[in-house]
Amino acid sequence: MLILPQHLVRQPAGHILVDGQVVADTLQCVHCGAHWVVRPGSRRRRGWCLRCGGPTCGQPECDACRPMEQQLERMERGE
Amino acid sequence: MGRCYCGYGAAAVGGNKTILTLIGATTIRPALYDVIVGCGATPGDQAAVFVVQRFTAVGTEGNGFTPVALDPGDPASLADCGVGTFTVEPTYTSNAIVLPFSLNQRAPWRWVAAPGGRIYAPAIANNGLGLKSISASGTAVHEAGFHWEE
Repeated sequence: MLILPQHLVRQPAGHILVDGQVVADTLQCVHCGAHWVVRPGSRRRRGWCLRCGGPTCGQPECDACRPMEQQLERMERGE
Repeated sequence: MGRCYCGYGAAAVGGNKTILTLIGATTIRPALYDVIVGCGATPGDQAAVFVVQRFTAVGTEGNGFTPVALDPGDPASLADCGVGTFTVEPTYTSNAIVLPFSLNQRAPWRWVAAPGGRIYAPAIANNGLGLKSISASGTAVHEAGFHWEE
């Protein structure tokens, strides 16, 4: 079976289509909500939150567990 | 599923040029699930880098756009849209890029959220998500569309 780059994510959070064809999948950070394209071998630092049970984007701000819902609520409170 | 709406805008790309914004309200967190970008200008081999980023102030839009309900039976959207060319750019939050991508002018580009992958804007007036080019090798007008759920 031919493994294509768009098949590398088991549970994608998004899909990128160019000319109507899926060319890549994205994952979403469970803390900040950002999406990124998975590129194996890119050496980009990503993480995993054991509490939220999902990937994190690798930004230092997302290393500590602050779930997306909590961050949205903090924004809405003006913090 | 909630109510779905769409917004559309067009603007020339360049350094930090906003094309389209999704503006939240205190009464709703719009959830972005579809982003479409393309260029209807004369085809050319130009490239641009785009981001969808959170902002905290709407700036001064070129035009407003009344969101269109995908179901004609739905009420008017609580969120709003702003369309380029912005005379004053929105105030973007640093380190709050939620969707970065690069695009060749010749190819249309689309991002669709999988279930559970939507991008939420906070329920704050004049806060939201903006699609902007952060750099471009050309200045062609690009069109963009948002689909979101409320």
